[in-house]
Amino acid sequence: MRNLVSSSLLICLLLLASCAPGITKGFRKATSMHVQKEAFYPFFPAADSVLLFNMQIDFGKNHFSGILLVKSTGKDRYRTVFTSHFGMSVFDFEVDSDSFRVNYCLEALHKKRFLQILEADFSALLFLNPETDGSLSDIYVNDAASGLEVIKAGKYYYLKNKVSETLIAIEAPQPVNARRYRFSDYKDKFPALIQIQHSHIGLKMQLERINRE
Amino acid sequence: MFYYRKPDKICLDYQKPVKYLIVINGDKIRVDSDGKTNTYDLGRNKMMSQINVLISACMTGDIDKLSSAYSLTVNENDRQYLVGVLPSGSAKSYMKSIDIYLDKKDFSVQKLKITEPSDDYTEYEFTAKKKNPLIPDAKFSVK
Repeated sequence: MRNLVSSSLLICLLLLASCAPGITKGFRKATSMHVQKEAFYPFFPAADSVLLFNMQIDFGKNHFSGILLVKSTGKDRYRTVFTSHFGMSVFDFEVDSDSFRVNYCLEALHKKRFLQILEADFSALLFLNPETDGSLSDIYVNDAASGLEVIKAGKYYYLKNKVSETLIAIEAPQPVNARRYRFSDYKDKFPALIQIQHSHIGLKMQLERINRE
Repeated sequence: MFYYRKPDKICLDYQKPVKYLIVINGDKIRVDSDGKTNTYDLGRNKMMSQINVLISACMTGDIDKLSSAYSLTVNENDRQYLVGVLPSGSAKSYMKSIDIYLDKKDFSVQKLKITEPSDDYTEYEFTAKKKNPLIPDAKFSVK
């Protein structure tokens, strides 16, 4: 009986160890400290401006594509509108650190689970998660690549490049709700390509910035 | 600029406020922006495909393409016909109405107003129209 319990415990420990987020591979925990939002290199501007993106949503065999508009409507408050290429609204949300308001959503997408996913994604991308503002966070360093650093704030891991002062990726490695965000092709400190993956449900989203001339 | 070739090719070439190109050719859509090209298969989303077919038909005045899921009303003034397209059934969930303004002189589309269930709307106005110009095939390429 004792052997059975020990074996079960060992298997559980092995399983938990194998669930360590891939983003920390090659890193070791160095310290814990209070970290302000600026340390995460947030890239969405606070000023009253409208950002445009080509957005694609792939969910199983379904595909939505169109234009995403993101506008800051106040301190840490944003409005996000996704339209088809012809201008028809697909969804229209207002999001801040305390709330997520659905102004409109196509009936086909107006499902509680999907809205929860979008709320979490926009909160992460717009750095509205409360853990990114002053919380005690674990800092991971990479001895082979000193310019890289991972910050664990709450349930999110942020991989950043301290040399270029850019955010490379965010991971939330939960057993059932794991998600990954990748940021690349930076221009003027803003990623021209943002990729979001919810591998457990086969949902992928991609944002490509559209520059105004 | 707006280009159309029967039966199913449309090109929307935006210059302001951003340079943005949309080409629909059959069931494929190509989007060019910032030097990047993305091509999508409209068949992968039945609802979006229906929306695109509907709006394409209304843009070109080819309302024969509309299925029985839509009812039509027609009004007129001395210069224009106003065709009101009212969706029924599931289409009502994403579209409240479409108003097509046709020039009485040549029945070409002058204005198109798409109203959503929230009463938000998108309006297209067609000016400086040219009929049957020579348009290169490359204008409608989705490759």
